[in-house]
Amino acid sequence: MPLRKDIKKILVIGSGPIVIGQAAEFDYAGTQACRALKEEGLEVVLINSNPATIMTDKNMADKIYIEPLTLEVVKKIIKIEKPDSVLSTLGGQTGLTLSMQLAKEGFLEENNVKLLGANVSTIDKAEDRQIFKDTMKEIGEPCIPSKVVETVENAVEFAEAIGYPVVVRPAFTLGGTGGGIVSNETELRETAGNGLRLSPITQVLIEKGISGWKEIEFEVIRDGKGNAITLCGMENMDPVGVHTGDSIVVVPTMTLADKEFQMLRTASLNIVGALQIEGGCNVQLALKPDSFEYAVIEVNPRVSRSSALASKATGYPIAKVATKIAIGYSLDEIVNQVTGKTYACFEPAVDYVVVKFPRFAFDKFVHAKKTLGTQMKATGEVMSIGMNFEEAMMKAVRSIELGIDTMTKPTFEKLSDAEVLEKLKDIDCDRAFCVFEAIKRGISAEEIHSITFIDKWFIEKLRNLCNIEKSLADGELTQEKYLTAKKFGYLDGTIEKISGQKLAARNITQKQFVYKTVDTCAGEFASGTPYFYGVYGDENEAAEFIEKYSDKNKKKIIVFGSGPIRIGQGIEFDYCSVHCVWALKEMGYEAIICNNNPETVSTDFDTGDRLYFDPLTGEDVDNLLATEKPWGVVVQFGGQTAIKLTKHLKKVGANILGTSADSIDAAEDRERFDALLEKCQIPRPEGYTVFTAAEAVEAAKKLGYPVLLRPSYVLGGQNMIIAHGDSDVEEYMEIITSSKLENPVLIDKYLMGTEVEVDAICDGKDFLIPGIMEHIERAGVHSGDSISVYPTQTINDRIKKVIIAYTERLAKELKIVGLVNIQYVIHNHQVYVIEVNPRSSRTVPYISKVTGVQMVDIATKAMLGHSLKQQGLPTGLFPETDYIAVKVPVFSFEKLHDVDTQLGPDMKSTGETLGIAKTFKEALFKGLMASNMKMKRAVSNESAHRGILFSVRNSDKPEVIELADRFDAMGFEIYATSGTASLLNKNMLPANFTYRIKDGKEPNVISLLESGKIDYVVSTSEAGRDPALDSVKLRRKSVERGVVCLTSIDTANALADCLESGMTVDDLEMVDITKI
Amino acid sequence: MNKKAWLILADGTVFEGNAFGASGKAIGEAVFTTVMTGYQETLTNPNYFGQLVVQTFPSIGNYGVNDEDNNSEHCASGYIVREYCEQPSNFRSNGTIDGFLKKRGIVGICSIDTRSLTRILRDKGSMNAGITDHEPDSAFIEDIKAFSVGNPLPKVSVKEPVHCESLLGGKYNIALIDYGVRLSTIELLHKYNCDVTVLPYNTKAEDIIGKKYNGVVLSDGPGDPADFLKNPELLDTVKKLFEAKIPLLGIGLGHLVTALALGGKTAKLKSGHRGANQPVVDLELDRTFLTLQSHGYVVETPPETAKITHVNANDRTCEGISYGGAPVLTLQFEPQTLGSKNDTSHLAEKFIKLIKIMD
Repeated sequence: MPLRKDIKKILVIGSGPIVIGQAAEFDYAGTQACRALKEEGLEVVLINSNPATIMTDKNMADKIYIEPLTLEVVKKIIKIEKPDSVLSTLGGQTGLTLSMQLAKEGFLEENNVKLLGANVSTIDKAEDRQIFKDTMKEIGEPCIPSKVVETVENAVEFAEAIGYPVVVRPAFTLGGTGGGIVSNETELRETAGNGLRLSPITQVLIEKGISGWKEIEFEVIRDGKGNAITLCGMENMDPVGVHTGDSIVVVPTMTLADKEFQMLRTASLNIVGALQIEGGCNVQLALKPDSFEYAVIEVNPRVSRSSALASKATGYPIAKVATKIAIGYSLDEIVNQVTGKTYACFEPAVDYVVVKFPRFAFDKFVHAKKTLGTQMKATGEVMSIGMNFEEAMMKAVRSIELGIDTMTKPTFEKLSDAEVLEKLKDIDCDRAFCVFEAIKRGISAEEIHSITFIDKWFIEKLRNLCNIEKSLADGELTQEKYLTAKKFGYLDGTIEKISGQKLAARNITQKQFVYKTVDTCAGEFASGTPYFYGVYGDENEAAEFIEKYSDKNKKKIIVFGSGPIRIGQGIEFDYCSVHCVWALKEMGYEAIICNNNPETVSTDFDTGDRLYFDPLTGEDVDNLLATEKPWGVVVQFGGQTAIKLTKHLKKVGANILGTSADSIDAAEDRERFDALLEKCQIPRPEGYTVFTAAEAVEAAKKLGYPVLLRPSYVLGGQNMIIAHGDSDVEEYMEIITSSKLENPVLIDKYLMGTEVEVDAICDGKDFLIPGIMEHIERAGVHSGDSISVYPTQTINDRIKKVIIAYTERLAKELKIVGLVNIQYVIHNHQVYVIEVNPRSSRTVPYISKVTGVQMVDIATKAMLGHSLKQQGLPTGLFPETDYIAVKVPVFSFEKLHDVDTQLGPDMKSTGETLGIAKTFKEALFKGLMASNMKMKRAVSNESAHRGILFSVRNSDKPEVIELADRFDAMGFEIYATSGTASLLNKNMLPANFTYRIKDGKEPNVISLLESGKIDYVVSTSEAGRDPALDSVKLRRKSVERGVVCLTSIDTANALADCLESGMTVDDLEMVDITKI
Repeated sequence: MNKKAWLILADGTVFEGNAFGASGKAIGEAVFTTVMTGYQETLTNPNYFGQLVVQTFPSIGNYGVNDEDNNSEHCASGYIVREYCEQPSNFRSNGTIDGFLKKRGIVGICSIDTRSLTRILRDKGSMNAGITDHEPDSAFIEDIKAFSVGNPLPKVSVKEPVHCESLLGGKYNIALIDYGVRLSTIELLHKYNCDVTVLPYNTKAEDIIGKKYNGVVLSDGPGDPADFLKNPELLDTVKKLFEAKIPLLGIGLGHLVTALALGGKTAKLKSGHRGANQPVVDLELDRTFLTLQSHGYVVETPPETAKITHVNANDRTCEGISYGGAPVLTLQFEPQTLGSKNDTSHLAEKFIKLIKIMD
């Protein structure tokens, strides 16, 4: 079947802000979808509230709405645009749920809109637990004993009947939010209650625990004719019980004999057939390790994180093919882009081993509960490709950027054998490392398996690594030992470190490092795919490729990507990398990408001229340089990951385009930076560089509290705190020094004031500031966690002039060529510099979209010697647009247990949304709404009242009065803890007194929250990371109850602005950003 | 570290690796397969008789071997892998791939860049090769060049009729002419309630026609189908069976031989179809099915009466033929019965229907 004739204009629903469980993979999928649709000449209308994405780029769709992803807004856009179809399966769970609601309400039918991708019955069959179970029963596919319940009592009753442990899975929640494994009634009551509340239809599934079974996934694609294929089988290293997003996953399956493999493959195809899927689908199965017994765990009737992984692991473009199927094509009509010879209706064969390794935020959230379960916690992941599992694993551990290059985790080395055994019982993010430590201690595979249920195959593979390391450490480093280590993925540097011997001194002949092709067919057909991975071997296919296809007249440039998505370094850097590549191609260069994140657009093999899916370490990069021999390299768009390579690249003589390595160092080295500011006569908060706790305390005393502490070379405000006293400083220094940081700690006077951020493009001579952004929250809240407004709303022209002048001076002095991000604080009418980042930043995508200044493209051209003037651009501050854009951070606190939600200098948000409108209020309203901030207004003469609870620190007390006054005026019932309550009451604000937890009396804040009387919480007290603190408990409870908790008076005032305005969705003007 | 071993291709390419499996030397036609699981089934697939099998998947033997997953008593002549697993893990595993090769006397070589080798075999076509754990000499190279699998039929076929009853009761009796049958073919027939009598390859038509049989299956097997032209009586048997209008199912070699017997022509594929991902288009149903294949020859010119029913989606070669109104169905691949709507079990059912009609 060719393209359906009745489709002309399609609405594509994106997945919204990045949250845990729904990340960059949907930008990858959405981008592929939009391209596939445009390729067919269809008109594409896109809605996505996430501005950091490639898919919301002007050339991706005909109409682009960066608007809140709510039912009302989508309806409004459908009314305006009148598309004939809506594509439901490429925008993650968000897109799927919205499409389903639109269809179920009859809205689509009323407006003559067809639902493409998955129809309502398919979605119901896959997502509604009971219908799914019934469907499985009909086709004879076994499910795990389970029951859908709508009350906690029914949950308990069923659990008693099937016996504990049981798994709780809420219906229609992202990444299994609110679910978990429980082993007794108390735990069940808590988890089930939580799950019921989070489920939009108040349903949870109670299911028999099957821990210890293997977890196997299949990615399936089916077309309208009924042709169906599986792309690959994936085996989770962690048995059932750990969310697949949090597990180490290997492609293809390793421990399944053909019989089991075919059995599960057949089951997957049967299921997808029964659900009548037309597009991509993910099937998760559990296999009992000692029999042929299996059970279906879950089905996702859409493109998912796993499909992004399967796409990158096999080279098969799932999202693109799924899109083509949605608009009428069948698999046998779609040509396999990779081979150009075969069709999409075939199953990829791989001739390598792929490992996916999750990336967590626990290095940042030291107090968070690290245990893993059915609810996903990873913020991102890396993928690596090797000739064997060991090699892929070694490549993966050095890609996740945890400061390790082997499976040895230094903290485990200190444990006794007994402690290691004990630690093995913890199902947490460090388990693979713990298994490795256990192997090193001589604990048998049998014993490790009996504790962890991890298949012995994986344990033996890790043992192989362990044996290699033992042999390296033992005696002379022979050529044979060296070769073995190389074959299993060790870097030369690692070999030297473990053996304590220099390769050169030992006359080790280094064999070459080569690149193999990902071609979907294991070499069966010749392919011209420019998709490579590095292995230790003989035949270099990349070199052959370059010889054969590379245009000798073009200069080659390598763009280094940003690695795994983590808090502080997200999708925006992929946006920048991709734009750089596009600009390079446009300029007639050959653009080569090196990155290791399977969720991204940058790792799509047709983004650059060549893709290297490899770790981003010095030695890996050296190998790449040896093969590619590029004319230049680009580091400034790949976040800190790429910036970190600068020193090394300079050392090996690579031509770093744009801002020089020396300038980058000047901005990051504290002393050099201070000297620079001195020279430019730009003030900065006073500060010192310290190495020990004693030095730190002394420096703090000199500066006067509060002070800001942070390590030099930071990322996303990692490990940054504001200290109010000596004890804070001491605690902080202990944590920092224990993690053996080589770089010193910076201690600065903390200045309270308005924070302003600038991204500028410089060509070495002139500079252009597309826009100045102002933060709603005062300095002290990390810029990534602040609500950011463009253009500024409260900054006067004098200050702006100062900012422009400082920016110019800094850019010139640092000889910035390309992008620079500068953060300022305005304190007592004076401008101070806080930070200079000589690279692209988080705000680049949104400012580019709002101002129309294509920052990365311009910066790339500047790096190649095209001055701003030559590019026909103005200099100085770009004229402000008519539109106001408000960027609002989005958090994933419900996934990260025990993390204090109090905002501070350490970044905590995982994503962002944007509100664009003609007025500030409307933009703010849109931004907040898009970030899922519930707008609850008190309605007079309604019995249901609205409540707000205040618990603020002393320094905020003067301001809480006015804030409370505003909420009181809006008819909110005010609640407050002791100090705040008496203050408010004194000021004639009727505040209900509530006990703190430590008062030991009722009603306290927790029971109040549980009563459901509270709609908003404003809690700013006791900033601390210790989950045992009262205030942290209150904030955590808010998260668990789904109550909006504001931790800054400024944010609360912004919310009050919105509520007071009385604005509703009806008042909003939908803005097509392609028209700006 | 294992003992050194060498792989020498007829074109002179030499790969140095390590010996594994049985020691000694082996000569055969080097062919690659892209299957990622099912190495035991591959090694014991009679289609690989006289061949050195290259696994494109680099990590082999992960789930060990067992006594149940053998396709036959016959084996590939040699085995070429990048890496094999010494500590396999699977509940049915009772040994390693290395031990299995030793037991079966299959000479193996590992630590080979199998991707590089596959690319040679893809570009130049399947070719003769040899594995040896002794420094190769010119005599060995001459032997490689001179190698021909010859007529494998007497070696892979049963010597006497063997009766295999279906556990389902055996509603139909099938005569299966054994050109190198896989156990999976017999199991397939058993699933459809057929008792199977496995007959030697040179069984005469007269010993089948008019006997108890409801239908005939011509099995898959190794070797060049064109060699049958040297044995006209074998083709004659097929022709007689065809003319007797007895329901006939040809699988793989059986499919090729049927075409030859009825006047068609076969040809060798450059590098063969060997893998679990071979897409076959069913022209009647307008559907594509994924099939498991392990063959090197195809019907190049079908007989006049033939109608092509299936083609390979990648290279459009013939994958299935029907012969007018004759109760005959021949397929290049074995219909899979995995119980999925997406498998090719309907083709096996079609054969059973033919039997029923004729019954």
